[in-house]
Amino acid sequence: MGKLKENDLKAITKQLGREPNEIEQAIFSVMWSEHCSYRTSKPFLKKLFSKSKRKIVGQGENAGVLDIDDGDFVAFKMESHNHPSAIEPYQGAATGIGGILRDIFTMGARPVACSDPLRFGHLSDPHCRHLLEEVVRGISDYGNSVGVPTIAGETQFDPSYKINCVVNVFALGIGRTDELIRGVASGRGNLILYFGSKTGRDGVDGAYFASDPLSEKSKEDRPSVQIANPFQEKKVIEACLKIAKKRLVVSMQDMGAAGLTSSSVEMASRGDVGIELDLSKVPKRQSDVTPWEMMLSETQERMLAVIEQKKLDEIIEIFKQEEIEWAIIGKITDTKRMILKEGEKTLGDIPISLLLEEVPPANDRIKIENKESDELMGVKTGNIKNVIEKILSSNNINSKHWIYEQYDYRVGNDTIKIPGDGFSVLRINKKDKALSITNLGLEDYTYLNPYKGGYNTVAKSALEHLIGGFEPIGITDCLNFGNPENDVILGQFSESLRGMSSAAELFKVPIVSGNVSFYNESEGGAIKPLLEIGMIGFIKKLDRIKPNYLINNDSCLYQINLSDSSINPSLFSKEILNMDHGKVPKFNSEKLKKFIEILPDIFDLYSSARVQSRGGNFVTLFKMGLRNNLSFNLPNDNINDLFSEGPGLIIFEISAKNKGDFLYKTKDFSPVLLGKTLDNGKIILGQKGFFYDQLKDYYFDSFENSMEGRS
Amino acid sequence: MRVGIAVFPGSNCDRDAMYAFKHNGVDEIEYVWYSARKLSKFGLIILPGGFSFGDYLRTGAIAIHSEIFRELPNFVRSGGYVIGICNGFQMLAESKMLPGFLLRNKNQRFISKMVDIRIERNDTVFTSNYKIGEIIKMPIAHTTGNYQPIDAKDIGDNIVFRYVDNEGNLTKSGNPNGSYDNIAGIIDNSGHILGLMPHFERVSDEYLGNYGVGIIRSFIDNLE
Repeated sequence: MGKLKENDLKAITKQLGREPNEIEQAIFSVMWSEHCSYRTSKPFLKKLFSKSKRKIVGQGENAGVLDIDDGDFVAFKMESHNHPSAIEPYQGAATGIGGILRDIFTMGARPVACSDPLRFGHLSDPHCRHLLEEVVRGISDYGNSVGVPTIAGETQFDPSYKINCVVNVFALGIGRTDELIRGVASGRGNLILYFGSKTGRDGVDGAYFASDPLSEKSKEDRPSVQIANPFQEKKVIEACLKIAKKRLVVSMQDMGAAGLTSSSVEMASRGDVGIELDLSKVPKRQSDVTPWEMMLSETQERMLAVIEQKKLDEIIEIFKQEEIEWAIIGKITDTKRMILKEGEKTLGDIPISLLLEEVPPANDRIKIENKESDELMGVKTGNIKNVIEKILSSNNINSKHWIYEQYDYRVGNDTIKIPGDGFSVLRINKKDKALSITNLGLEDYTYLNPYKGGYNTVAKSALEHLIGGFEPIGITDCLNFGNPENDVILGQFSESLRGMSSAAELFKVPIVSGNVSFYNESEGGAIKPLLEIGMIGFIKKLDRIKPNYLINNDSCLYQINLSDSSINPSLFSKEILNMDHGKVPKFNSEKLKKFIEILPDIFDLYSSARVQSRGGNFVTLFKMGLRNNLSFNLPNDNINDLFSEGPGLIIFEISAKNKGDFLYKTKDFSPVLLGKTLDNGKIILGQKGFFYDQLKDYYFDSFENSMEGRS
Repeated sequence: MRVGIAVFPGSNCDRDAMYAFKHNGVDEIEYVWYSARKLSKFGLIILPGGFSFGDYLRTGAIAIHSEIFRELPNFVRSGGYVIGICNGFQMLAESKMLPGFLLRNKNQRFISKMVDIRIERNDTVFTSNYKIGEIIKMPIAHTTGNYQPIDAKDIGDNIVFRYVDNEGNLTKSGNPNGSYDNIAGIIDNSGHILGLMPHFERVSDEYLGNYGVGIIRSFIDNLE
């Protein structure tokens, strides 16, 4: 059992007026863990921008919920499963998917899309290859089996993730607003319904384990990792959706971290009621599972609902058809206390507010450290062909089809823009409207300057949606940081959130759900701070979607800069020079605001557009041309021009016909002519020419070579 | 003619099949739960993709012991048609309603991608709207799609779909999963039972691609 810290035990004893007994201590140890209580992060999260007319449910529930017209809603959220995946990558990743899907369908929404931002150490290390291979297999087996398409993702490599890899999971569901289920318990005497898998010992203490840095000893924590059963999940999904359709529950929540304890306590707390559980009624996998193990177990695929007695028969009918086990394990009271019983015997009695609201932070001191440096790099132009080949073969650039081809990204018949090419697009239930989905985390920026890191992540994502014709409507975040008891780490956290929130406010995109993952440390130190976001955009007409890939031969390529750019840090400096310091590019917020204003006027004037990606103009254009096999020319082969990166650089493809109009309407932004699109199979840089097809081989084959240990 | 889409616990392409058929003009269509014993009102049963009963054993191995599978042979004898897509094809092979086996893909991994498929026969009720040799794009999404016949000599006439490379040739590079002779789909000798790995139901409208519509239209033209 996870142990309570001495200070915490003192505080609890004082509040309770007595020392908590063994099972109560077990409950406090998980509920007061960082993972469940957000004790340290809460004050910062409260300040995040979250206003929107579309918002139905914001932070603090199972998932954020936004209105997407016509009585439809979208529920979405992102979570981390870093620690379990570092120890037991297959199960860690698979249960990550299972858990995030439950957060969605527990609200009455059918999960219709997943995505997975991942971070690992370099693949030259066999351990990192093993982690990646197993994580991908875990996501693939679970997601494919439950029939939810994995339609986006983002995988990057940096030595700081060698031991403590990052596995973030994003899920999104669609429902009808009149079938939305909240996690708010109410109604004295209402029943507490348990359904899904039986409770075993797996995952006991998972939340506690996730609130500690990884060490050699962590391998001994393997039993703290849960086991996945996607078939059970699929049955539970179908049952929950039937329950939602008939409006048979008062509230519902999945048993995630700290299982039965947190799900019951959180629902009771939101409804300001009490609960009484009889642990002798909980379905058990083995007869000798003890009460405290039951309260802490993280057995997967379990749900908890509050229901009215009169609805029970109808619910049982659904469980019968879907072949799901269930039990009534307690009732709602008005005592605002959690009372645990085993038959007649009382095992514990705790005021609910003490479990959730009154948890003191582990640390509240922040130290802001800026690691930026001004020194400029002297860039020598070596053999440009070698540089290009190396950049396109870099695992931080190359095609990840080896990964996403293991994911069923089409099931559901609504994936109308598949993964592998910028943002993904999901049609909404076969209707003439769609959502765009992006994942982005800029750890190299956030490491050097947390504020700009957070800001750039949001601004870059929002621009991607906007130029594609989508209104960015919501953000979910997954905040992966080191040990928050270290003031510098808490400073990174606080600053990057301030940056994220500030950009979100500028674009008027609310942050509606998310997850904090602290203690991402190993013997090698803390990971590079990763503020990962999932942003969704909304479009009302499918035929208004603007391509992010080149359409025509002989178009003009123009660039507009809404931020400055830099060659260090950049992918070039990271991959070719092995450097990760420098100065993080900054947005010009006035220019940004003006651009958002004029965008509707120029929207019909460009054939395609893309926000510059990692690898600068060269890589961005290279990727834009893949779909229609269109290459390009650029005036020279200068390293700075080819590979400098900025989060607010946008490339537009403009036809000869629209050129004059486009240049007139964007004159305040001084667009720069980069070159033209070509259909002759050649990339021309000044006087030099390269065969597009030959370079494509580097881009498409290099990742598989790395996975097979060949490079 | 009424179409039934069989639903097993763990099926996950049942709703996609429903959409594809409805969207392309089949209105008389409904789901059939795997415990159904009567199929007489249907003319076509679709066994959809997914992971029936979790497929924790061999793919399709549990599904074929369900009530609906006890009834399927009678259904076919009395003139009914069956299409098995992906997991449905695995069930048909497992139950020996179609000859041969489906093994794990050569690379041992799940493969989800668009592939080029060549039409090998258009004298079936499912493919009459295509030309022989026509190449269409359809997605595959499976771990167990490596088809191997029991007797290679006998399988030639049963082949309806083959994987080809992007130049339309029967090559190793065009074969995603290691199937014998690039086989992607076969039909039984009676012409009533079709099994294929590619998901034609996922290329069934203008936004997803229209390549699979021909199978649905062929069936409507021949039997409605």
